[in-house]
Amino acid sequence: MTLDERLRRTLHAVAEAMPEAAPAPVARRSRKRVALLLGALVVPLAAGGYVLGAEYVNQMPPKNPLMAGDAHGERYWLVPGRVADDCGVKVSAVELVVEEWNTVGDEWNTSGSSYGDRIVNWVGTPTASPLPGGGEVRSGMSTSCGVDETAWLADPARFESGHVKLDGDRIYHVAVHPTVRSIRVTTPGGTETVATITPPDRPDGPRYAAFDVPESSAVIQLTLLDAAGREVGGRDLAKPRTGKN
Amino acid sequence: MQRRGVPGRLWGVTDVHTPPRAAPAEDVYRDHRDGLVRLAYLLTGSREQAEDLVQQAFAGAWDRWQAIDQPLPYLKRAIVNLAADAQRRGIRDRLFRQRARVEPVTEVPELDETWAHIKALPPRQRAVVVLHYYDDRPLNEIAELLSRPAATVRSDLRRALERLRKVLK
Repeated sequence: MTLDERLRRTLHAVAEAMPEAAPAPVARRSRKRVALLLGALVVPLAAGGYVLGAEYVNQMPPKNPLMAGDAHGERYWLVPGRVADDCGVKVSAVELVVEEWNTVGDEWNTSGSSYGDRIVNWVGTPTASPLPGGGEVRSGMSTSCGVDETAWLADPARFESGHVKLDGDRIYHVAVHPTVRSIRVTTPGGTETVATITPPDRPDGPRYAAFDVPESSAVIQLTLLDAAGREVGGRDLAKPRTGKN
Repeated sequence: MQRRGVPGRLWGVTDVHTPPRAAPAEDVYRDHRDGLVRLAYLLTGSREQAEDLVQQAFAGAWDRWQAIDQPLPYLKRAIVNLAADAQRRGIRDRLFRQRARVEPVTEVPELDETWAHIKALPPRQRAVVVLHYYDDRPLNEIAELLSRPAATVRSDLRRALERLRKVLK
């Protein structure tokens, strides 16, 4: 029996075998109660980063996309950042939303990349390291509070990238210098040029883009281009990162 | 605008469009409720929940019945969406949906095993499988019914079949 036949037979047999309706109504847990329980479940995970948050997907596609893409039928978008750090600064100015992982009713499951060096405030007492070579061991508490873009803005070639894997594809998101207006992506499968965008609250700031490539790509050459189409930097994302980029 | 076909004969010309009148809600309810409950049952795995969803779908359509040209596709779409929402809200499903538990339903072990794995599919993939193999809908119709791109529906089905092929070896 082929898989098609097996599925057809199964579904018709199950539909035929559907049990009779319950004789008496069953008391149900209220939706409010369920929501409270879900909230309790996601809190510990939310503390680990911004993959999960307290908010839930209320519509798909998202209402405010800045960029949209399609990886062999799997849609994705860049949307304005949503998650703030300890000081109320957005962890990522934009977030990558992949439709497959963000269904209505679920908590958001997004990823992002920040442009700049994260500012970490630390409170504690340094002690001398017992390891050979000495150094310092820091213990105490730290809070994340925005990013320092100074060094990054001084170097138009500097950029940050991240990616997610999706059933045969990789979807990359990149954060680049404000002068980078497009990125050229070259893989063994071909070349495409993707325009960069900014979130509405900072039109002159760092720019962002997302694109997809086949997961098996041995080369993912990223080239940063300014408004005149001149190359300002880039690297092969398929190779391990060296130096700043 | 008029289009000319055979010389001297006008065809396809009309200024007034009269949409086909939808069947009365009572008729649709009487003729299709059972089938819709079975569809909802395949999407939820619960008879009680299936009946609730069908009731909700009819209730949602009731006030605007006259504006709905094709009640049956409309109701099916509502049921698929309601089932997906319910499934996503369910804590038990959230925690256990990756695990396929075989329970005797059809009394044919091979079919029960298949059903267990269909139930473990993500809501969207499960909906496409049910609409395609139970409701006998081609993928382009499913795409239309779910208001989703045809490529996405094809991708959902392909992923579902890949997953089922692996576990049903």
